[in-house]
Parts: sequence; C-alpha cells; structure tokens
Amino acid sequence: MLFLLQTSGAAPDPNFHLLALVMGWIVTVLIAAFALAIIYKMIKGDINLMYLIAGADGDASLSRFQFLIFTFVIALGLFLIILSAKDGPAFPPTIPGGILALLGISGGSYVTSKAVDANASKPQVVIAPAQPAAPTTTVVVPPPAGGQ
Amino acid sequence: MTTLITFATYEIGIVVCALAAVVVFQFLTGRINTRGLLSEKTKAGLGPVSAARVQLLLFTLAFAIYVLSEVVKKHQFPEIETKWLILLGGSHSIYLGGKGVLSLLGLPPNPSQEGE
Repeated sequence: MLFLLQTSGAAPDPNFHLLALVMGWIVTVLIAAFALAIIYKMIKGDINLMYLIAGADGDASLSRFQFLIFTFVIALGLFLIILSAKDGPAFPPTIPGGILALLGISGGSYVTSKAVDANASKPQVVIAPAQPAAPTTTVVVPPPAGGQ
Repeated sequence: MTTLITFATYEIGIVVCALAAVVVFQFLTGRINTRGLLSEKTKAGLGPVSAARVQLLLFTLAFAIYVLSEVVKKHQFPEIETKWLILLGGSHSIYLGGKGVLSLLGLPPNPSQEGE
C-alpha cells in the first residue's frame, strides 16, 4: 500500500505507519506472553516433558533425540546469524542446502524409526492348523445278571 | 520501529535459549526419560548398549558442535560437504537397519546370559 502511494506521488500516510507499529508491538508482546507461559508451565511440570524423546514403547528414542538436537542447533544458529547481520537484524539471504539436508536426514530417520516401531508392535496373527477330531470311545454296559 | 525490531529479535533469542535451558536441565535431573537411549531394543525388552547407537550419538554431537562453532566464528551457516552427509546417512542406515532386524527377530535382552 505504501509502495502504491509512493508511485502515485502521494505522501505516505503517517497513520498507516503508526498502525503498523502498534500491531507489531501487540503481536510481539502476545508472542512473548505465550512463550513465557509455556516455559513457566514446563518448569512447573504442567507441561510434562517426561516422554519428549520417547518412542511408542515409552523408552528414549535416539532418532527423536537427534531431531531435537538439530532443531535447537539450527534455531540457535539462525538467531545468532540474524543478530550479527551488518545493517541490523536481518534474515540470511540463503541457507545452505547441507543444513537443510541435515534436518531432512534426521527428520527422515525419525519417521522411519516410528514406522519400524509401529510395525514391530503390530500383533502378529497366527492361524493355527485345524486339529483332527479326537477319536470317540463307545462304552457298552452289559445288562445286570440275574432275573429280569 | 528500530526499537520494535530489536525487542523482537532479543525476545526470540531469549525464548529459544530459555527453552533449550529447560530441556537441558530436565535431561540432567532425569525429568526427561532417557532410559534405553543407547540400548538395543527387541521384542523381549532392552538389550545391551548398541555400538550403532553410540556411533550415531557421537556423529550427532560432532555435527552439532561443528555447526554451532562455525556460526559463532563466521556468522553464517557452514557449507556441509556431501561426503559428510553421506557418512551421516550411512550411520543412520546402519542404526535403522539394525533396529528393524532386531525388532523382527525378537532376540533375548542379553545374549551373554543365554548359557546361565
């Protein structure tokens, strides 16, 4: 909208700039509040992280652990790069394919590990062979001896 | 606007660092379950420590430290050569292949105790 106003020769509307600033502050403060609430609940224990890296069986999964490590490393790395940009905070122009491949490999391994766990826990249906009929025995009781 | 940008940048950084700190603290205090992280898993239960899992863990930590140190030094993500990605992929294949085979075979938890 600002670009259209500028190309038409009209001066940029200061109210628009103020609106953008107010909305930016509202969104930023809201995100900060949500984040603080989540971190507080994690510390208090309301958000239980006991099974954060657990698989279907409840034991820790190395794929999930690796996915967690790479996620944090790339998030922290991205934050450091944004902060250290020369002309103020700015998103890096390119992210190397190797970094994306790293995330892709760990994500793919996590999904494959989940599939292996799901397949292993599937109950196996065993069809028992039909049992032959047990032989029957006929018992003949003789009539009682003596007069009838 | 500059104040807002700076505030937002530091806010995201503090949130990410706080999340990481909470997770690391809960790992160290045992509030996050790490039982069986390096053990073989079979249908019969947890087995001995697996070499494939130890190898994968060491590779993961090595890559993580390398990426973070390059970012701190050069303020940009490093270019990771294809051979290192192939190495990581191979390590994953060994880990997942072993996991799949063991879960299908259902080997006993500790083969060394078979003769007791």
